[in-house]
Amino acid sequence: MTTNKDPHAMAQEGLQLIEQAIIRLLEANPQGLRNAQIADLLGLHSDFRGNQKDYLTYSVLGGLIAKEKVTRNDETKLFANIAAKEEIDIAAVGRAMYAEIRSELEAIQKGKVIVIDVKSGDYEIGDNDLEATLRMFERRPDALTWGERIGYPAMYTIRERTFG
Amino acid sequence: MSEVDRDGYVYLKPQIALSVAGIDRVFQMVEVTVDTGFTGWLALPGDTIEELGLTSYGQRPANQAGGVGMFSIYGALVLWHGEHRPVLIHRITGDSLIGMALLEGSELTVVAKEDGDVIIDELPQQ
Repeated sequence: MTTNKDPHAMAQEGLQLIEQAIIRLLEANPQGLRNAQIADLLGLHSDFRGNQKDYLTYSVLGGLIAKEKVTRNDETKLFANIAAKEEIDIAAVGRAMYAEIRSELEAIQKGKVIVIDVKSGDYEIGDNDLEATLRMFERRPDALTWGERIGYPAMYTIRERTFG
Repeated sequence: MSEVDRDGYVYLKPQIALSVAGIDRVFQMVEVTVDTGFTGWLALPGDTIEELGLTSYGQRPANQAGGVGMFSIYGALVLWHGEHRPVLIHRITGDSLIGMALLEGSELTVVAKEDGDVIIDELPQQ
């Protein structure tokens, strides 16, 4: 970083770097982190005469929420990356994983439902999507799932509706 | 069970009110239209899903008139026959729907006239 820039440019560059650091940290911790943990891991503890502790990271997180890059679970107070979830093309990864085991499953499990966690490759087979999905989330609470009805082109039928 | 459209035309629409919640268990009433052609549990528009704060579960393929479409799905709880039942929610545009997966095990009565009732009774356990 050079110091012959004007103060505004310097501040913007600094803010951007802190934002990137937080996003990278949250990518590495998909289960989410609290503000104090983020301040800790980035060495950004702050206070004002002993009060307003860690407002620096808190305010930057507020900006990232406004930009819809980060979410906060108000119950657990955990901040998590939004982009990290959406970066995975669930359908593409899920279909590719399913293609590898498809013929084997169609022979013995036709009509059953498979729910695949596209992050780990783990899967659950069940009589219906709800049952298999709940079992998957019990095992892997941070799962991101794709599902197929074994031996059929689609899991559901829905008329004249589009994804909203 | 009727609704008036923008042109003042009254059309029949079998709707019921359901109590739905996310993991925080704060239940909200949602008006859903009975759609026997939908094989899932419930389908809700994005703004309702955001209001309820539902947990994203991933995506699922569904047959539609024009081929296979992709839908985001979410987890929710619904008050159903006096119990909290976990369900999967399809994210859609347009009206909220209740489909056959949730209706399974119930008797559905639609009195198809302007002030007609929509009644969903639990069938005795087999």
